[in-house]
Amino acid sequence: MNRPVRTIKKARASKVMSGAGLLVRTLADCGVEFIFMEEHPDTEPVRDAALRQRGLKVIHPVSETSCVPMADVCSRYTGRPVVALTAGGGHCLNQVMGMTTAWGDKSPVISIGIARSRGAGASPVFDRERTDPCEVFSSISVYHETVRAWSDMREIICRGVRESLSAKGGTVHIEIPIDIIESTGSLSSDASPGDTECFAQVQAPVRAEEKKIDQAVDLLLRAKRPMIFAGGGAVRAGAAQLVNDLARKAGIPILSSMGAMDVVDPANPMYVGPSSYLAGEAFHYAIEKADVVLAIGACFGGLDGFGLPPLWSGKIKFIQVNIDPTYIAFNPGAEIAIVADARETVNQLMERIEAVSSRLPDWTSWVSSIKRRYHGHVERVACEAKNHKSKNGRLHPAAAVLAVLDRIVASDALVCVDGGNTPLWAGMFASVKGPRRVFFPTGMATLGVGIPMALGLKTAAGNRRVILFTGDGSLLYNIQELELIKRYNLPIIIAVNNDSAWNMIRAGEIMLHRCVGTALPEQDYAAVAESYGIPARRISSLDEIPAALDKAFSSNGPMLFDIATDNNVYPDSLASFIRVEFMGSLMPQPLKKMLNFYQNEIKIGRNVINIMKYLMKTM
Amino acid sequence: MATYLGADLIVETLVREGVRHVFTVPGGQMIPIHYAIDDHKSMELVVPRHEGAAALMACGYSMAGLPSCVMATVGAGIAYEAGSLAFAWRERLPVLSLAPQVQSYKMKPIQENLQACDQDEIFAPITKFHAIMYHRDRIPDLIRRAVKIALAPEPGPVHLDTPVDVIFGFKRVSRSKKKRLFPDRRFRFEGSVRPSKEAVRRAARVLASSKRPLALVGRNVERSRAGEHLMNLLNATGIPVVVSSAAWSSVPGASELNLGHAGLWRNERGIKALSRTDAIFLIEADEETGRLVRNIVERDSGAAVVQTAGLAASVGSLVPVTAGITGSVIPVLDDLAAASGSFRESSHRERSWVPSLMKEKEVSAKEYLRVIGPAHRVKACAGVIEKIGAIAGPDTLIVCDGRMAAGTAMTTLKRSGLHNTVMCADDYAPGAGFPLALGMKCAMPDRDVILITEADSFKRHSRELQTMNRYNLDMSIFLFQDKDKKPKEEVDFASFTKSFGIEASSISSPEREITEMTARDTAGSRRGILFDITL
Repeated sequence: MNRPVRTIKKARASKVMSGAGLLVRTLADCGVEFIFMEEHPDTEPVRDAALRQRGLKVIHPVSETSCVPMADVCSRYTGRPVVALTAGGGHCLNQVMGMTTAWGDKSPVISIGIARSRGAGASPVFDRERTDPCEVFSSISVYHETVRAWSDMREIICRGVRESLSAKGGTVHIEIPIDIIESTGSLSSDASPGDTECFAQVQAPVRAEEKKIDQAVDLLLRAKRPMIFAGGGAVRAGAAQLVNDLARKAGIPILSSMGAMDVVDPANPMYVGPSSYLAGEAFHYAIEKADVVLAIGACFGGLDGFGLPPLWSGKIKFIQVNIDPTYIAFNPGAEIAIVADARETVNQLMERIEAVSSRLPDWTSWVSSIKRRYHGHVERVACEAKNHKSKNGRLHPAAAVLAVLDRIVASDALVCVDGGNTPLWAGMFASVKGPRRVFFPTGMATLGVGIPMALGLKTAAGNRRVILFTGDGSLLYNIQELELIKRYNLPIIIAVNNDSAWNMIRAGEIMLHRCVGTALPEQDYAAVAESYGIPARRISSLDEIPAALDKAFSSNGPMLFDIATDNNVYPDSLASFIRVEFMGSLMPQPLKKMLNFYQNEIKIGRNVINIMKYLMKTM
Repeated sequence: MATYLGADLIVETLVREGVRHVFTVPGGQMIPIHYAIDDHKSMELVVPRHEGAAALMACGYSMAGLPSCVMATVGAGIAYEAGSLAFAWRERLPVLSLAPQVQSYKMKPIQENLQACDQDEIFAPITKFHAIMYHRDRIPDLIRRAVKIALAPEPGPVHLDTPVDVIFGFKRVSRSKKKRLFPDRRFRFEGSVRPSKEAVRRAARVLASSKRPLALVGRNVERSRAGEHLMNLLNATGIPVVVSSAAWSSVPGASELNLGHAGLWRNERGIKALSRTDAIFLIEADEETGRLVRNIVERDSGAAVVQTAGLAASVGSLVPVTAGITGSVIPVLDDLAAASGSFRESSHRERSWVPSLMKEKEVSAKEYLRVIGPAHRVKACAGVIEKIGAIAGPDTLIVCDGRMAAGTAMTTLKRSGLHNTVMCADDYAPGAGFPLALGMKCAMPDRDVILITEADSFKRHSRELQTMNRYNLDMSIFLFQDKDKKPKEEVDFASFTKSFGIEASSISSPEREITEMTARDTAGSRRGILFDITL
């Protein structure tokens, strides 16, 4: 984490307090600032205590399902642990979606369930009531525990916060019975509030061995086609700017993982495209041709092609920098492994690079060759979008995204991107300078977390405006939270890519042979938003977008744009994704499927041919 | 020889297990399964807008007694589903949950695949059975086994993961291989388990000698559609009955033996009144009746306890029993009725026992209604519910959701007919009522459905209005909003509903605007409509 969290102060001796009081006091001591809390009779004691605790802000979503996604993005923006607190039982289990998403993003979210006492005794009648949510969360949290006594609570909360911040960080679930919340106790003067020294140590940056730095720089100096690959760890360590500086200083092209969408500054001369597949053939060219890759805070997940063949060249020598030793050589092997804080390591590398600057090879032509491919990709898609003519008069999603992005780039607005095809369109032209400006549920690519994420981000971001890119498939998942946006008149702009389909899946179906269950009804989402009292507009022409955005930016409240787009076009980066996720599964399809493919209408065939062309370019 | 994908084997087995509707939200890894379902004339996909709603629709479908299946995609999809499948777990609904996984060589331990997580571990604590179908040849066997376990006593959900390479993988299957995969045999017990004659005689003797017997009825009587058999027994023996909220419609509202739901009696006065019993007849105990029987026995009432349960381990697990019977609900009730003869005429039965409890019920009902919401709201709510009750025929399904709406309905609604009402009175799965109603309508399209709900509950799955319109799952929705709480900026549900192409109207004076005739017109018209009622 880039910002140190306060070292825990010991609670004042002998002060009698309720369990709720102890909980909020401990959270505040641990540096927690935001609690996204379900409004429920069981959470009321904690709410009342939190409102009395200085430094804590309590936000009530409309539905408990939204608590964790809001906390997730809030923690990613602030770099600090954030709490999601709900009632127990089914309410708590409704956090599985948010927790899985936050776990995928390795966000320091502390989920707390206030549990009613469950049926006692050994009767099978009560077995299911006694189901422990901690067991459900066990595989999607780095730590989970039930508080069994008032006196244990402080220690368990402290440990939860430490675990959430340790190494790569992650989600934590803590179950607290309501009778402990309602009971009182006092901390004696020698009561340990947790291992405070250990807690502080989590925050202390770890430096790389000088020997490893020398080896890394030597390897880079010998490289013909080196590349820097920045992951989410670089953002978490607060090393985004430094990584950019290192690339610029060394003259090495820089790409990023999908988990670090905005880490590379588009103005950086070493910028050769947006994250991972979104850079199209530029990414594929770079990972096929590179001979040395300096990976900073990246673990090479599926959205990055695993760092392995067939997408990545098997000949690459990786220098891997990671705070967590288990993520070293997690997928591709490491030539040089450095376990250290990314920020410290990049600083060390910078110093060493400066010392050998005269010996740095000229990699200009290598950089240009990647850039050329990236610009070619963008121009091709932009040209397709410009010349797009659909039978039903709907817009090309890329054209719509470009029109909105143009306005965003000029502002300091923060951007949330929901799951589905929309991030592929939005990310393809990513020219939004970060870090911590673009947020996407990377690990799970969860549909429908957009509205809660935008709300969580707005909570943390103060006066900055938030823009949400979402699709019609995603929008309705958590539509109830529009009520919260309206209640506080939050200046959140929602752009809906309304293509009347689950179009990411539909694209896959078209590659096979027919569409089943992926069509969505024609729906006017502007009317839906208006029923919440949110100003909204249906957009059916590109010319309407600039004026509509100007109006939205000049207003102090929310606005939703329902942009009618064509579902017969697909982002070509989707083909890269399908290649990896379905590797080996899609190739040998039965003959009847091939026949069906040829029997399909020409329009669908043309789409497939486009995808095939793209795949050829990426190979 | 025919070519089968793993997906084809999955769907072929589902068809043979009697699955007709699959509730799903699409995912790339499930495409071949969708194709295979589409190829089967007897099967249909229902695609709501949220995996949690899909699972709850499957729960509603299961409540109608049909084989029920929900399918969600890898990672985020199952994560949305899990919270709702927990409802099936708690409510003992035999829902089959299927999901794809990432490739078998990249799962467990995960390798940072997009959307990969140990989903089998997420489901383990909330399902009766979970497995990963690593090999295509095990698909039919594992699905059959999962369904068998789901239906076995204490029913509940089961979950199966299938790696994407197994779903997409294809192979030619010879006739003899197909016969091995789908042998022409029975794979599960279908029928009922009769109780031991001796156990029945013993239980009957206890009940026959009782002066003040009391029956407590749990959810499995409702799930087994055993209301008629229950009433035969109770009417023959004159035993008054308290039902759990899940078994609410197992006893007709007009029955003179109906003491109402367990919630009415879970107070000091109610427990004291029930503690006068000398024989408790505990039928298929669930959590509500389980707590109540413990409360009664803890008072040293000295009552004899007769317990019947499908699961032998349940008998005697709550309180010591005088006589225990294990067996399927219907034969147990029938055999007991046959063995009990005419207790009612029994000379030692205390004649004032049932009237005194009925009097107590009235007091408890007033107290209960006072607790579940402000008096004026509850009164107005009860007024609307009374009108709905008057026009709903015995075949109309009524789903009540939300503490106040369901609590009021449980206490004031009078229904004729059996097994036609679902009460979601506690808040374990907030907002479950609407998707449950959609699932029930899907299972029984010819029956009228009425949903009585509250704004706080309804808004959680209100998006499914689109599903309602898309699949013509028409129903009448009576939605109560709190006038005191409702701030100006709260969603306008009438406009919201209309934006999905469904008729809606706002009602601010329900006493005046909801006439019996209006309600009759809407409920009988088979059009989807929502009444946004401010109380």
